[in-house]
Amino acid sequence: MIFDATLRPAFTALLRNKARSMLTMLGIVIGVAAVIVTVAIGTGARISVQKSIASLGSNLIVVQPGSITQGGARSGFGGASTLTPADGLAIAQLPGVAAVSPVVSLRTQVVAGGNNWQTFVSGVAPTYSYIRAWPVASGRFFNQSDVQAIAKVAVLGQTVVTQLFPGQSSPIGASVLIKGTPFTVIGTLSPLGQSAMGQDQDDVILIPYSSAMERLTGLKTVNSLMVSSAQASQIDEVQSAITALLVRRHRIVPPEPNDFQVRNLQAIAQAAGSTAQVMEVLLASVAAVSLIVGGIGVMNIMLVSVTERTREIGLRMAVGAPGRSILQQFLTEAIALSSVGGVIGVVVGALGALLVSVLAHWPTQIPLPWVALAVGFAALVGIFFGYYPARKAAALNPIEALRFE
Amino acid sequence: MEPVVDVRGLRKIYTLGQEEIGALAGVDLRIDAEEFVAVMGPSGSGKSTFMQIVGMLDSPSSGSYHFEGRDVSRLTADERAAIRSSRLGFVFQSYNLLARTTALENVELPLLYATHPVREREQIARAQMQLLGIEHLAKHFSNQMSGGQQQRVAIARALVNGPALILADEPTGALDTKTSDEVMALFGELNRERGITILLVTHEADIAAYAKRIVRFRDGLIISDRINDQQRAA
Repeated sequence: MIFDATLRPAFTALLRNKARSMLTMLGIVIGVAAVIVTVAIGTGARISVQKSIASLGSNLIVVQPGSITQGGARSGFGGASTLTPADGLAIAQLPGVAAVSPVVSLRTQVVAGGNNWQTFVSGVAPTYSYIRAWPVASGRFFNQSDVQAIAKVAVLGQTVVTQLFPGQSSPIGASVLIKGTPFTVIGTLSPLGQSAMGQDQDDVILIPYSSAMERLTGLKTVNSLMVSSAQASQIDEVQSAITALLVRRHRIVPPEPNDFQVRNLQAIAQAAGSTAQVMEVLLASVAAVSLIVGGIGVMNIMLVSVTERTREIGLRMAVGAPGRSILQQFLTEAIALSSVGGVIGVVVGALGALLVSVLAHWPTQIPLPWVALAVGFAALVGIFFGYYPARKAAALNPIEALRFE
Repeated sequence: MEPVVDVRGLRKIYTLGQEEIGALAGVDLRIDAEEFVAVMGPSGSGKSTFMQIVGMLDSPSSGSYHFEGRDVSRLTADERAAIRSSRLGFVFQSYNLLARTTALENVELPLLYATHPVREREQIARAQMQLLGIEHLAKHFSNQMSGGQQQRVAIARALVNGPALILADEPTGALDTKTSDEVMALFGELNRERGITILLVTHEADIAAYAKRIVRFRDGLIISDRINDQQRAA
């Protein structure tokens, strides 16, 4: 009954004045659309930053040597050479660990045919391709038997390919001299582009870590261990499990400091993301101000409407409408105006976001909670700004209202 | 049987700024069921104020008002609205039909506030229009009807909730003589054939002549109250 006595008259009244209702809604439409577009751009930017960081590897954890103190001098991170491939094998046995790869890296001059080039050579495990989500573009990645055989095989990054083999269709099968040792090219890596820090990630040669240790560095230790956790949600537990394992394996007795450190890239991604989120909220609040301006437009029109329909209100009261019924009718009208405006605003905002991504090639994404928030806020604006005119209508004296010209 | 309206010592004083204006100065009147009473008087005689109080749009400053035996002189606005919605019907000079609304929807309006379900509402409203012979106007909008037709729709609206009393405030004030006579004949017929109690307010003698009883107001008091032995019937 309440539904019947308020909702129907409210919608009938709005439909009777279509042009006016549309113009009043426009304020709300623009407000909501502005919120949706700014949030869509902000969220799109944040997600693309996170994606580019995530491209470093899925659920990546990096174990690096820590600092050691010798004769009172602390070496700084990386000073300790204590991480071994055996540590990596032990970590691989931990629950929640998907893959582990040791990394032995060195910067050196490489030669192929008449060309030479200064690049990074990384000794890694076959799992590295999976950990970094970095497939080969041609040929193959080295496998476990290559590692065991300390094979002289190499997989080249795209930058190295263009520098060492310019104009050649495929470098596979060719030979590359690394520190005087010839390595056979068995594959090339797909291009990754620049890292989040602006480094050319394709300027690299990957070889089996055993070959790097045995034939290039001559050391028993590695520069770091890259670990991939099975699930992003487990990353913290895996990290502490690795810490506990290495403390045991390296026989570290507190208060002795750890000779290693464990970091994950998710934390870095989150930091970058939260900066973007602050911007997004800031922009959305500015847009929300226009929503409030739209609400004032609703109040203005509702006041006009109440004055215009004074006789109608008087008649409704004369035939027995209680004050609260009149209040509900006008409040419903205001809420209907602003929530319908809100829904249209979401549609317009979504189209705007689409336009931005098509024309400006900015990544956009509309998060659903924000859609609900924007529409809900629009309805709230309707209640807030509709209450005063509605109460004014309900407080009218029926005799005077009927006499109103 | 309880009288429909029973007022004793009814007074109404308005305050306009510093000045107090007495609109009613002590009115006693009793209207029984099935009566057709015309209230006459010049402007400022208090007849409109009287109708507003009897119609429960306003409350008296002092005195008592019993409606169907119940003291209604001290009710709140919402309590009065509830009685209006179920026991009273209004007919106004300017019809007061809702703009851009069909005749049927106008007739349904009082039922909306008397908690009738939608389907039932339309049925009751249609039946009432049929009784008045205006069912063909059901889908007409206010601006598509003549004054006489609009007033008939307004009468159907006043009757739709089966009221104990119809209050007609200058119902022919905006109509020509011929249409006025038709509308007044309709009131007479409703009173005679359906036993509907009517309180008519008018300042025209030939309109009041349709009533069975004529009450004259002057300066907030009743100056005459007599049975109309020359009742017009169209």
